[in-house]
Amino acid sequence: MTSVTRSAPYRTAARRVLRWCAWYTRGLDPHIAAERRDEIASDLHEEADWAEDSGLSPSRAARVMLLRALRGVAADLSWRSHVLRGTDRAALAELRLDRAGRGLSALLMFLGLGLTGLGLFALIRSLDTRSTSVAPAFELLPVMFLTCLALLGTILSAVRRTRLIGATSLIFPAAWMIHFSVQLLWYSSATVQMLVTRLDTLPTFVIAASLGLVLIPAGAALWRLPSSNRRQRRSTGSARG
Amino acid sequence: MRRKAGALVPLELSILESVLALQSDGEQAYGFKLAKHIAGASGNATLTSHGTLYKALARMAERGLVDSAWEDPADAESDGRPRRRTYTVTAEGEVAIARERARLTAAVTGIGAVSPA
Repeated sequence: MTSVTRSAPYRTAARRVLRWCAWYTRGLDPHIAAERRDEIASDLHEEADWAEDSGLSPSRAARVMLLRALRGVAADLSWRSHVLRGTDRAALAELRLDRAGRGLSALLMFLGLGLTGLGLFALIRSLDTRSTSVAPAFELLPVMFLTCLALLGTILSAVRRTRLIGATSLIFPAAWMIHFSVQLLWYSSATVQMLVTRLDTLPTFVIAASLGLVLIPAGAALWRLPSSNRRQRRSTGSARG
Repeated sequence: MRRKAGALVPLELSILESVLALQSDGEQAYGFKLAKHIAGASGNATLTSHGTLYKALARMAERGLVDSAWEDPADAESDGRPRRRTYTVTAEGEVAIARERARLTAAVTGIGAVSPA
């Protein structure tokens, strides 16, 4: 007979319970969160041993374990809320600041990849020999430059240490990529030609979208400025002190 | 409903009694063992859920009714299992048990006194 601990149903159930535990302990004091996770991990192991000694089948043991975790969901959430209430304001502010910083970094990466993709798409379409007309070099060069800059900015943004330079590098592509890509695609894309001729609001839309996009790298750059870092460190220090 | 300050809810009393029973048997009182002991004592086949059990234990530790300690990781490793967090009843916990038992006895006596013979 397969041991309960090593069986696939038990392992899947244990993974689910631990994932749930990781979810409701997220953002809590790391020490408290780790203690709860360790205690649940130990409980799951002991329960599997007991299930094995009791002769329960692996799938029945997994079901019992999942139901046991499910019955405690409300208590888990109530415990989390109790722990959060006990967390001091500085630690909570730090937690929110950290979460916002991570969200902004993810958004920055997403923007960088999107801008690089748009630039590459416009270039490939324009260099396609089957295009309706060939774009002049002076239209190609800005998109090439912006695509390279967007790629560089994306790479630099992926590393925490160089994120400030990465975010700054992405400001220029965010401001101009849509404008120059539309101009370039006008030569090769019938859809763009139709949009340019029929949609009077297209220039306004391009300006609004570009301005909106600029806010992301500009915000991320401001976030990563040395003074912001000092502020963040200070708040971390006061939370710990 | 708010409970009276210092009063124990039935689960807390069960936990304290289980910890004491395990201690007197020379056994470690840790999460799963407590859930098993409580289920056995109440004749219930269902184990106390993780959430309910560990929330109650955390609350009782905050109130100073139980103390907890993590066992030596080396001991757990040699047994090939995660380390256990063991609980012991504090002096305050013992007072709380005695107080709760006295309250329950008084309540039962009171019911006996008013019920027809």
